[in-house]
Amino acid sequence: MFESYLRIFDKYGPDIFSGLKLTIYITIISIIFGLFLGLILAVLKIYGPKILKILSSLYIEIIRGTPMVVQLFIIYYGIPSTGLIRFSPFFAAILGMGLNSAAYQAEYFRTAFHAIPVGQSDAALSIGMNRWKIIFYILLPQVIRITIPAWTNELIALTQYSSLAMVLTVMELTSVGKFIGSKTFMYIQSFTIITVIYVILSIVFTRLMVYFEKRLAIPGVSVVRGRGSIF
Amino acid sequence: MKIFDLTVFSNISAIKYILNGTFNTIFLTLTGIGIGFICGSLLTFGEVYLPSPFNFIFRIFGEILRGIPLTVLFLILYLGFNLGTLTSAIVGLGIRSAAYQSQIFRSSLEAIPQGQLLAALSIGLKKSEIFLHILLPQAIKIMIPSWSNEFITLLKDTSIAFVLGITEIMTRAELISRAIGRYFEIYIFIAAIYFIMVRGSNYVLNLIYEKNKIPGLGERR
Amino acid sequence: MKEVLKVIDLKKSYGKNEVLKGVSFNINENEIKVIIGPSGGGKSTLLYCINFLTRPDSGKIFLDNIELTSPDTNLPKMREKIGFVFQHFNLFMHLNAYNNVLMGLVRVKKMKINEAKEIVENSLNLVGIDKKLWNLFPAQLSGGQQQRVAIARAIAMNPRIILFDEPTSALDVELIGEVLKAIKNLALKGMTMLLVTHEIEFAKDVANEIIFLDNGVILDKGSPEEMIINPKNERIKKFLGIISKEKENV
Repeated sequence: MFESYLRIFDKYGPDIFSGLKLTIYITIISIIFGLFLGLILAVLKIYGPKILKILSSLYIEIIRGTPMVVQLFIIYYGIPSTGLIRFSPFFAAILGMGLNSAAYQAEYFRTAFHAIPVGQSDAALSIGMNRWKIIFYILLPQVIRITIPAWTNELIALTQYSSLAMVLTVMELTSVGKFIGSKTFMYIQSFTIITVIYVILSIVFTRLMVYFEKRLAIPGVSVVRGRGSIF
Repeated sequence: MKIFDLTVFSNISAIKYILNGTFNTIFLTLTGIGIGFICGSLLTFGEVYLPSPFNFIFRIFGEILRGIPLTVLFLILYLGFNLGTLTSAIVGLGIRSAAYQSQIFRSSLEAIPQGQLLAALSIGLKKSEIFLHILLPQAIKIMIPSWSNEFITLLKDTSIAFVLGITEIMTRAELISRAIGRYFEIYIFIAAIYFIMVRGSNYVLNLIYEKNKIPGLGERR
Repeated sequence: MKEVLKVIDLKKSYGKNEVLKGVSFNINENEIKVIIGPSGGGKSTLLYCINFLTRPDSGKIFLDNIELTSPDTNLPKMREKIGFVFQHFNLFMHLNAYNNVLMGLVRVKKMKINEAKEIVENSLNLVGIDKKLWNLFPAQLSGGQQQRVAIARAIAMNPRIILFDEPTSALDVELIGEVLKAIKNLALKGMTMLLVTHEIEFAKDVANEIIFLDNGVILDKGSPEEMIINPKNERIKKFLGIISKEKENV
């Protein structure tokens, strides 16, 4: 029984490894892209001028109201068909997932901003800080800590959604699993290997984030949870 | 070439074909959430009420299920276990939703202040009665917001069944856009359909929430 | 006089920490006994053990001469006869004030809702919960109101005895009075009660006997006169000194 697994590893080990590498790249790059865009969206939605508030809310609602597959298809197939611009599959995957994640992260950040007692902003005003200084020096350091658990869940969600890059022909982990299956006709074995890798990846990411959460913890600054959660 | 060619939508039969896909999407969502509800309840029961080594096994099982991407789950069922496309889609969505719903059920049960259980015991209620009359009604109210989230996530994730070739909206859109050679318009169109379905569900679920909310129980997210 | 509750050599440990080291006492019908003593002395654990919300390690408990500690006791049936008022109220959050009181009557005593109506209303009136509060949920009530509803929930079951676990210590100072008044009302009706409290003045006022529990044992017991006005035991004197100092600071 284990023989077939060994044979797969023996023959396709490098493919699995490169698939894993792509999966990790896509996930990490898009979550960081989503982090910055999400923060900007959240700050605009709460503190921005009215027109930007509306635009930011609209963006968040539209992205959260449509499936990621559709978003990826618009970016990879839809936009090039207008003749404007064409993206590589890898870049399209990162762009799509980053834009998607930004909307979700914006909501986590917004909840976190609202979780901080108003009194602190008043106190900051009273010592002469302006609005942007308050956001940067008083609120953000707390918001980041409050959002870590939600952010962990977002990381796990993105790890899983990165498998959708398969439909853009990116040879990430899931595509590799399918490829090996089609070559060897051992689909169960190849997907079992892929599944185990995904589960391990989830555990590693979660542990890592829990470590950061503990390192950065400040007594009394509490948490916001995000989409689904694991471990 | 126009950037957004409205004449695409004058092809009535193509548009109709895509729109009919919404029935399949709704069907997948409802069967998925239904199977997820039943299996999720069983998982939660295992996690919360079974004696020590067994509850742990159930919990690990749930965690592993939550760690598998839906795409992989579909492909294992379809290519590995040779289930039909529709069966793979329904079972895949059901299993996945079960894993998430069980987590929602468990955390809702755990969110109920323990003191109430003592109070219920002190007036002479039996354990089964406490579950039925004290825990369950509160857990249901507490879980509505996160359950609504799960419903909407599942609705959107039915589009991943596209990898199996189920003729829900996404697959139909893909077929049509390839046939007529215009992708942008068609995908924007189905994005709009999904958006309407998501907002519609959201509206209904929100009404249910508003109708059932009780001060101090299950804050909105 | 009829004996309602009898506790013999009750012991309870949490791991290595021996919380109750053999406690014995009894309460007769219409009697009110107050347990005082420093925090961590085992007062709450004693009450929890009597209602079997915590299982005692050894010792015997009798209610109306029926042994609760015997293995074949029908616990829900016996708990029905022992009321319990918690420090943190523990009202059912999904039910309004009225239904909190109704719950036990309908689900435990299997009464019809209209049969129970009079009992619920009388109980709520007895603790001074006004009709306009009946439809409010626990989260919409003040702490004092919540605790009075909790008392009404206990008395509606028509228990043989009510146990009070520091019923006022989670309340703001200005709300303590209304709860004590409700308990006093019960006392005047002749309810048998066992109270754990730090309200020494109140204890002196209502108690037939005061029990000083420290470090898991009953150090001394006697009338309020002997125990509070002229305490002989040094530990009790010291304890009362601390309590009255805290009061002044408030």
